[in-house]
Amino acid sequence: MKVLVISLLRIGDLLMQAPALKGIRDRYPDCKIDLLVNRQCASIVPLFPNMNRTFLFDRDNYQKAMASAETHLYASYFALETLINELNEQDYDLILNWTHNRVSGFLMGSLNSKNRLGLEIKGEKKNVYGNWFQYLNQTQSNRQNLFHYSDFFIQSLGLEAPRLDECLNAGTAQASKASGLKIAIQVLTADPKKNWPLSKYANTIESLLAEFKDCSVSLLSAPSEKPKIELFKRTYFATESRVQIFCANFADTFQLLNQTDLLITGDTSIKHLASYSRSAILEIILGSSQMHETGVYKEGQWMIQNMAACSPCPHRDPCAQKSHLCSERISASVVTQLAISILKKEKPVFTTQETERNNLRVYVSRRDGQLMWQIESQFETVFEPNSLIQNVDRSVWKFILSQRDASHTFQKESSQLLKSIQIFVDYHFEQTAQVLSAENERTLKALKVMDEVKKMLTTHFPRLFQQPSAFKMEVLCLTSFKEEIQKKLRAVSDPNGYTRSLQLSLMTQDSPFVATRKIRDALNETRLRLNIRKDLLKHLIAAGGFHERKDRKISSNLT
Amino acid sequence: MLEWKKSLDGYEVPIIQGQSLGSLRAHRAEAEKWVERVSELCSQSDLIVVLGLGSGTHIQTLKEKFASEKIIVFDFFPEVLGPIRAKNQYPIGTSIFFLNEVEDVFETSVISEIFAQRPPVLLFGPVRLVANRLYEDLQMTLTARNPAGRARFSDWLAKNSHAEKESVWETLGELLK
Repeated sequence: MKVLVISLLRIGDLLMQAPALKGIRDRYPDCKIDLLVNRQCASIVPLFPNMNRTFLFDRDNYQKAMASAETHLYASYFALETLINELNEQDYDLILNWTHNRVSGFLMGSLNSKNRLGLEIKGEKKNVYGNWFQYLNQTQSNRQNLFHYSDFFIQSLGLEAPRLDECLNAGTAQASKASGLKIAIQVLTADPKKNWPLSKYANTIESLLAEFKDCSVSLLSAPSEKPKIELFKRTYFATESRVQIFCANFADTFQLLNQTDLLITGDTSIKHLASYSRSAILEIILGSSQMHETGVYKEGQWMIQNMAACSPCPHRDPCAQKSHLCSERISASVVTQLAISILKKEKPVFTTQETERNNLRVYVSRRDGQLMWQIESQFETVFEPNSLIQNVDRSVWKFILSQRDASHTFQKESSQLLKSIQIFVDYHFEQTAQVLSAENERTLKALKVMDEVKKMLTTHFPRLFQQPSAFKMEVLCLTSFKEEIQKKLRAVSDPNGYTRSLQLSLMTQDSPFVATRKIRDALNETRLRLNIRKDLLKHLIAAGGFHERKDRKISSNLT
Repeated sequence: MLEWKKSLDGYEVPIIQGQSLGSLRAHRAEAEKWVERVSELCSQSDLIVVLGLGSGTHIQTLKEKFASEKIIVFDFFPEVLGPIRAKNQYPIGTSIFFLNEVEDVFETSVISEIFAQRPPVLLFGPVRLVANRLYEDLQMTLTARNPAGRARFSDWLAKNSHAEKESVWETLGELLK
């Protein structure tokens, strides 16, 4: 079997796909796996084990050549056409578009393959192959995706999650770890919004050096960042021999991380690289970082975030605040305290005053075989209903997208789900019960609305077609019908997208007959989804013993 | 009217219509700077087209750096050539073509080669001032960035049985958004 994976985003995104690539290799040991990546990612590809061939998409050169008066208008055209022809000569059995943007969609549309998964665009026609990618397509614009990207790619192919320490080549020079604690810090990021102030990094390093006399600090740097890092070193640690600059390629940096005790960073690529290394990770989450999609994938790693109202901000826009709030409110002392606890393998203790005043959250990543990647808040005093609901909905959506026979596995899934929300159950039983009860009510209400819509559809359908010749009348009738459904849907609060396909079906501009059929199909799909949610909640509430409490009314509406 | 002036660093610089075709101060440094700017582009092609012979210095400098690449020069002022040869500033190893108007380029013996290889078409800045956009028009034509150039290039593609694919253009279009 020959497989092509199209991955045309950045290095961090490609690194998040490493577990899925390893998963394909494990499932199909003899399969030929080729990669199509941006030229900027070429340096990271050798770290991926057992890839067969890498094709480079020369995005920057194509763009430059298109815009420059000195190059032929067709220079980019012929370069890209040559690449496409070369890819088509490989005769792939399966093409996976893991990029999900229009460029990759058009490329997918130009490539021949017997099977394909992901976005494809041919002219005006857009196809999204695979349930999981349809979900991604519908959730991307309104940030409703509940899954970590690494999980997403694994699940989209129904693969087993591999061991993370086998996802990248560890390299040959496995030097034994020198004595003393090793700390690596990446102080700069490619996105200014993700930069934590250098003075705070300096304070943190100073405190760590004072706390651990035998520790050394490597300041990680890409070659392009070296002058800035040298200035940082000169400014704060000119005479400190325990602080050294480590300017290297990704392979060498990965080797260093394998001998490091702790990495502190806000940088995406290094954080994902470290996920496959032996190093513990402390991520400072700033700017546009979408923690639940791109957090540190390795289990048991630490993340600190300020819950600024504007956080996370849009990826492409600069910071809209007068000052960088999310960064300012994370103090050096909190990061130091956390780093010391991680290195001493102790549970960190924070003063409520500081964490509450600065609206801080500290999370630890968890990976569960069934429920996949999630985060666990480390402040027991904090109850986050959204986080609880997201855990439930991630589980429901996994059922929906994997198209499993839900009835046989609800019990198993709900006990897994219970484990993942144990911290809520242990510390906030009452509130958890209330939230689950409210969610149960909400699902039942949504189902009731769907029943009403179904009834409308049944009564409207014959009315819609009673005058087959009067097309105009049918269109008018359909329009008012759609408005009625919209009105009903407004009563349904749906942050995690169960009614999305029904909403989308109402936007169709097809003929009345086709439109009605689409609405009917979407309605059935929505009802099925809501029923899965209802059933899973029922099992969860039973498994957690919430209904056994006399003071709860939670069981009253269970069906 | 053609005149010649010696630059401060000792190069003979042609002056046409009162405009000097190169720096009269640091003539060689100007040429080197130009070559440095276009080097990345030139390194991607075996064929390089330069518009504007100027004093010949910039082409000599380019040839020194890209000795094995084929360099084709187009210009509109043939009267410059004789003195350049005499003043020992002729860029050896290059092919020079003089045109009366832009369309003449399609009559030259190298046009098929240019169509086939689609080389970088470099304009030497100082010559812009003397020919009322002739050099710019020639650049747009040779890079198929104006209707005349595009039409000629499309004809060539058709003759060579090359069908353009809409999907490739659509992909490139997305990259420009």
